[in-house]
Amino acid sequence: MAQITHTSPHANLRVTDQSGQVSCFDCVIETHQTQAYNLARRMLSDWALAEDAVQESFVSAYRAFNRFRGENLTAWVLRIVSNTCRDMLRSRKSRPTISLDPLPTTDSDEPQGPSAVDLPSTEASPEDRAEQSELKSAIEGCLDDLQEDRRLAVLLVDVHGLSYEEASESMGCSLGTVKSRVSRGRGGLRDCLRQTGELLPSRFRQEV
Amino acid sequence: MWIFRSTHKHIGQDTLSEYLDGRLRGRPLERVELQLADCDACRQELDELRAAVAMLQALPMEEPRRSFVMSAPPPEPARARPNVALRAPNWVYAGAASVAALAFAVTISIDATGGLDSDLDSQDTTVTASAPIAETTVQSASRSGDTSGPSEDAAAPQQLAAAAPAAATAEQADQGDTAAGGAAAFGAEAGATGSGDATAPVAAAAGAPPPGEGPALTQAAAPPVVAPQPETAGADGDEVTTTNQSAKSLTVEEPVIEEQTDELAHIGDLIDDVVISGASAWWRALEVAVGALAILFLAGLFFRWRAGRRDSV
Repeated sequence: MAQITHTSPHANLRVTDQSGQVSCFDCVIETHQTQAYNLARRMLSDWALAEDAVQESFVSAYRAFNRFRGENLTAWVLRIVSNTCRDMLRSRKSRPTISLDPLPTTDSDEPQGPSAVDLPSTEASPEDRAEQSELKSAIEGCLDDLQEDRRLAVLLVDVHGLSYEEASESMGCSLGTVKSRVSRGRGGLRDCLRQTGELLPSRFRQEV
Repeated sequence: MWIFRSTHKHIGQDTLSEYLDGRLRGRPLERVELQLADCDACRQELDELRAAVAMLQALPMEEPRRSFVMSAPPPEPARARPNVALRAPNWVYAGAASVAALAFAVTISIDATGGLDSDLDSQDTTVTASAPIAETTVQSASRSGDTSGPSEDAAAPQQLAAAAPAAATAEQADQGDTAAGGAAAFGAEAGATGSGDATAPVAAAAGAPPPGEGPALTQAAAPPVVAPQPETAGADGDEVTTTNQSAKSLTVEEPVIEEQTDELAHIGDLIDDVVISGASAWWRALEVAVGALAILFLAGLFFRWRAGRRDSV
């Protein structure tokens, strides 16, 4: 049984998992906040809502940590984020969907983390960077068109690299359901990307 | 080539997706590879899926604009204290729903297997049994009407015409409205037996309720009077036809006490009918109430389960 202990209001929260390993809850947040934020942003298509979702998810995680059985922390955290996002999507259904906004740019010169246009190739030309940015927007737009469950399955398995079993734990459904959703999500994504073939890399364009 | 096409089966998208993730082993894997070797479309679909997955995996992870590290434990959420009914444990809801569902099943099964029909059958028997009485009384009235003058009572044809459809209505009572059937039978008998008084039988045959009956019975008994009378009377045979001819001279004076006794007996039958039909209505209301209770408890259990699931995460 996991346990949270804290000696003072400003001390790091410490958690003890089932195996007796002690770690700080802040370390859990630091380790998983990037994954949590990206999952929430692609599920909600809105960076501000995604920040709220991640904040709310970590508060929920803190309160529910005594129910964590110490199995797979990443799957557990992503499950909380998924549930928070689904609740937000459900409550937002009556309102029109907000399109995926680009991150706001700052005027300061301080170094930022990898942004939306920072793909791994640092030697990319401006044309390549523009193409990659368009490709990324196209993929995220196609992800946004997928059904909510399929989008979550594809994000967990293909973007966040979870196994089917971990995704099943995160989504709270059976393994067969995960397989089906991943397969249909990939199929839907491929069909969508076919329609935007000009934005795709040359290899994919030739195959299409 | 034709044989190849007829036996060829395209690889399903789920199987291709699993193959792409390397989750196929043994014979399924061999089968897919054999099919891929023979099927160009399958290979193309696999390549497209592989490219789509590669693009998804290449999506960059963006750093959040701020850290979510908590310097202090978050405050406990202020939760509204649920009322007493909602604070009950789940097994209370489950047990109550089970009991209600069981009671609902029992009431439905009793209704469906004819537990109520026995009451209805006895009621119908009572109603149909009164029809021959009406016919018999009409016949006796016609036989004794030979001594009367032709201009004695102009309303006699009306009462006899009403008596015949009333008997037919008593037969229809097997199918539906028992109160209407009972009232019609009452009207038939009253119309036939009360031949001494010209106005009372006509009023009875027209569906006028006996003392103490409500206006609903009057309305229920009224339609048989409007029903086509000659056809029904003719269908009953020659006796009724001759009764129509000889009924103009009905002058037999029946004792008033006997008439009142008959009326009281029929009022008793009507009360029995109403009580039985009332019990049936109460039974149906009980079924609906028990069913609604079962649904209510099940819904409560479901909402509590959902709330618990949300809290557990």
